[in-house]
Order: sequence, then structure tokens, then C-alpha cells
Amino acid sequence: MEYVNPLTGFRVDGRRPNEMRQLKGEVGVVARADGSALFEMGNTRVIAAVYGPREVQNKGQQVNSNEALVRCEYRMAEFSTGDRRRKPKGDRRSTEISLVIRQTMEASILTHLMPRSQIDIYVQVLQADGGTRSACINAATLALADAGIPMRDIVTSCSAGYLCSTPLLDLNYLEDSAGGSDVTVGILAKMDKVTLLQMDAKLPMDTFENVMGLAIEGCKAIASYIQECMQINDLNLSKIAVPTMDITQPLKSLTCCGWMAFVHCIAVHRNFLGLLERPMEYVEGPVGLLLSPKSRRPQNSPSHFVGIW
Amino acid sequence: MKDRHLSLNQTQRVRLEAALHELQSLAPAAASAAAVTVADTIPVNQEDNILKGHGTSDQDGEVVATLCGVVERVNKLVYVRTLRARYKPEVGDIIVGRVIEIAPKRWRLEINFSQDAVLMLSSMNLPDGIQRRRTAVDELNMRSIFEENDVICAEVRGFQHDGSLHLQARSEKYGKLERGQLLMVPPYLVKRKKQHFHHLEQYNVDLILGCNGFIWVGEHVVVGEKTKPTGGQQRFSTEAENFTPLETRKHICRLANAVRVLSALGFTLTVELIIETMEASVSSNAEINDMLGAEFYVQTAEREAKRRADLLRKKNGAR
Repeated sequence: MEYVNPLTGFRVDGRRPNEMRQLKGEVGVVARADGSALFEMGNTRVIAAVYGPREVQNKGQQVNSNEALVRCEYRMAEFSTGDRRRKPKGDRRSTEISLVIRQTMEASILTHLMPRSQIDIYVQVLQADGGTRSACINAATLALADAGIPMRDIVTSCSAGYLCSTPLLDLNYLEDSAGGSDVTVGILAKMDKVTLLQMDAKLPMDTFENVMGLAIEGCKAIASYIQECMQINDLNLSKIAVPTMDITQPLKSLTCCGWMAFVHCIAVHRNFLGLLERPMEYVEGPVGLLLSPKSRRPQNSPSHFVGIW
Repeated sequence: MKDRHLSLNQTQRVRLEAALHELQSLAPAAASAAAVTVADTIPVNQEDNILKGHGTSDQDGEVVATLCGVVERVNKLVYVRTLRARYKPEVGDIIVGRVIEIAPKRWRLEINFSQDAVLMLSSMNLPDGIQRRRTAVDELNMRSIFEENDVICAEVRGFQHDGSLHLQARSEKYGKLERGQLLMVPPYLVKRKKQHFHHLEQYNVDLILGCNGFIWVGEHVVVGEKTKPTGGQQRFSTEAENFTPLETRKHICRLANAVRVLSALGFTLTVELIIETMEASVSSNAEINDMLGAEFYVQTAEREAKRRADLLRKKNGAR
């Protein structure tokens, strides 16, 4: 079968060899999740939900309590493929892809900022048309950003293949199952680092470089799209939430002397009890009182009390 | 946005879009400039040595955001305030939580933080109100104070050395919350204020805006009364006697639905706004269940857009 038309140079679905499928990203699709996203690459459609950081449920899984534990579950819906095949939950393909996604995302998540917690990423394939693991990684990135989980960089992934001696970007199911090689690349978009590289079948060294270069270009294009999605969501939330005026209402401040008297009372009282190590003194200034910085607070004073001397 | 769950008709959709568009256009221009996403470079003046706060990291001498949110600058400090993220506790915050486990000498509470919070038996007032050492008997009677799935109001005490979050409930206003509804909203919608406990006298309702995004709407409890010993059988009999009147229950539901609508729209929750929304529902003769419907949702968006426009006009006029 011809995967690239020798006359026009178009692929079976009418794309050019270096053309991607249409992207679509939507944030906040699962109400109960901390973060969620729907991501489409052509007919491949994936939904991702992120729960966490939350308390570690199974303490046995926690390797290092100074870092967050990242877990991932990849599943394909029964109805996602053309033929409705029964796939048990623990099948090897899903397990492998779960692991791949987990490792890719873990490279980007700043796990050390969330000690003693776990992050669960659930990705579900709703429609499979090739490149599901790429779509899952992209969806997971969007969902993690929505959940407010700190990340080093945006991780994106894209696949590329080599058929009819042409490097092809973003393979669909038909091209994927053609038997040619299929390179999936995941990169940290701004830092230009590769976090995922998988290849089925073999390729000569020089062709591989071309194909991988094409996949990386695809990743970057996806990264700019994902960033756009985040930006829109971000703006929507921040602009609608902020009441224009409510923040600027004046502080109802106590008069300075009132404060002085109040603080004085407490300080004298505490001094009387022998709680202060050193005799107190006022610092005269334009404001009238000077609140001591945290470091100078005596150890035995309660945290909400700030004395003066 | 959760409006996908609503079935808006054509007119309502257009009206909603118009209202949301107006709300966005009313937002200060600085808001769009300050919004960043993951891996965006935050422009800073390298000469004045800045301090990098939460949500930023250093990459090749550039300050890069690690979160999606809004850049905030306080003197030298530059940090990113996230919008949709879990709650980040600060000492002294008033929070509402749910008991998920009773452990030795402590309760574990779910408070929408990255770990469960801990309320020690020793850091809360005993029901008898006497200050004394907690004994083994107290420890055995912990279930008579709070059980699993009870909703509790408490204050953040601080982080312990091992990184766990401790709470305290050393006042009569803290403690178990009963006869009401717990609502969970994104924490960024609740701003830290002087007052988080609100007694709405006209409705005989207590409203607690927990900083962690858990909001309690319940029947008003007179402080001091709830410390009555509530043990076993006696509790059931008293519960049957003084049930919540229907009127109050309706008020609770109305307020709760007002909070639901406002949080679905993504407005910052303040008492004034909640009460205003509730009163609007009464004056527009909306049934309690209709408050979650499409029409009221659109109306609320329009009302808020109008309110903000008026405020802005007033402010500009004053200048």
C-alpha cells in the first residue's frame, strides 16, 4: 500500500509528510479532580485527571518521604478502538505505557516541593487513532498545570515514522500499523531535553536522526499550543475571580496610641510574670512603635504575640 | 468552567458569553500582563537582586515560572500565586475539615492540603472546659468528641519539625459543626479576611468561610451551648427535640446554592456577595432547586458584571 502518494506527496489522510493532525486542548473537564484536561490529536482523544498532591494512601509504595510519589494509570476505553476487544486491566501494554508516562512526567514535576504526598495521574483513551501515548503525555501536562503542581518545564510528546522512504510526522493508526518504524519522543520544551525516546523496529542511523528531528519539531509545536491553552485558562480564572474594587477598601486601622497602650499592657504583664529575658524599652520613631522582627521574639511567647522593645 | 453541565439555550448562551466578556474587560489591565504559565520567563530587573519565591525557579540566570498563575511582587520578592491549586496553609488560618481517622491522641483531618492535618487531643479544649492534663481516659473517649466523618472547624497551628501540619481548636467557636452543609470550592476563591465566622442574624444561619475552600453553612449555634456534654443516648433524644425549623433549613439551602453558583462561575466569595446572590434569588422568585439551573446562573453572571461596572464607574467618577 502506498502511504505517501508518489505524485502529490500527500499521505493517506491528506496531510503532508511534515504536517501534524489538528490539536485541541480543553482544561477543567472533570469536576471532582484537582486538575483535568481533554486532549485531541486528530481522531485520537484522551482525557487526563490529576488528583493530588494528597496524603500517601499506601505507605508501602513511598520510597522517599522527602519527595512526592507520582503514580500513573493508563487505560484504553473498550469503545476506543475499531474492534471491541476485551482488554483486562492489567494487560502488559497498558502497564508499559503507564510506566512510560509516569517516568516522563516525573522528570518534570518538582517532587521535592511536595514531601509526604502522592500525585495520581489517570489517563483514559476515549478514541484511539495512533499516537495514544503522545496524546496522553500532552493531556497529563495540561492536567498537571491545571492542578497547580510545580513543574520544571512543559513536557510534550509527538511521534514520527518512516514510510515509503519519507519521514512522517504524527502517525495515525493506519500508518502506525503499517509496520514501519515509529519513534515517539518526549521533550522538555524550553530546556530542550529529551525525557522519552521509544522506537519500534529499526532505522539506519542517519534516517533516525531526521525522523527524531521531525518528532522534536512536532513536540515544540505542541508545546506552544499547550502553553496557549494554559494561558487562556489562566486569564479566564484570574480575570473573573478578582473583584475590581474589593481589595482596595481601606484598612480599618487602630490608632497608633491605642496599639501602644495595648501592646504596653501585654508587655508589662509578661514582664511581671518574668517571661521576658530583657527589660523592654520603646523605640521612638515617627510611627510610634516598632514591631520586633520574628527572629527577636522570645522563645516562650506565643506565636501570635509580637512584643516591642 | 463548569457551565458544560448546564443546558443553556441559545439566548442564555449569548447572554452568558456577553456577561463573561464584560467581566473580563472590566478586570484591571495589569491582570493580563501578570499572568504566566509553566516555563514562562518572568521579566525581572537583574540589577536589583531579587528574591525568588514560590512557583519560580532559576534557569540559566533567568527567573522561570513553574506554575500557572499570577506574578506577585512584594518589594524584592517575586512569586507566582496559583489559581487552581490545593490549599496552602498559613499559621492562624481558620479552616473547616473532615475527620477521616482517629489515631492515638490525635484526629486526622482532610483539609484539601497535600497531606492530612493533625489535631492533637492536647491542642483542643475539652468539653468540660477544664484545663488539665489529658489522661488515658480522655484518649479512650476521643470518639465522644469527634467521630469519623464529622465536620470540624479549627485553626492552623503550624508545621511540626517532621513536616506535618498541626491544628488547634482552643476556643469555643471551634469544634464540631452540625446541622448544615459543607461545600467545597477552589481555595483561591476564599480570601483571607479578619472575619471568617459570620452569623447571619436575619436567617439564623452560621456561615464559615474556611481558608481551605471548605465552606460551612449551618444553623446558628449559640457559643457556649454546644459545649454541653453530648454522650450516647442523650444526644439522640435532644436531637429529636430541637430539630432545625423548616424556614432555617430553606435558608441554609438557599445560601449553599448561592455559594455553588458563585464558585461555578469562579467569583471570589465574600459574605456580601453570597447574601446578595441569595436575596436576588428570593426577589426573582427562584425556587431553591432552580438556583442551580441555567437561568439563575446567567442572571448571577450578569448581575456581577453590572455590579463591577458600577463600582468601576463610581471609582472613575470620584477621581
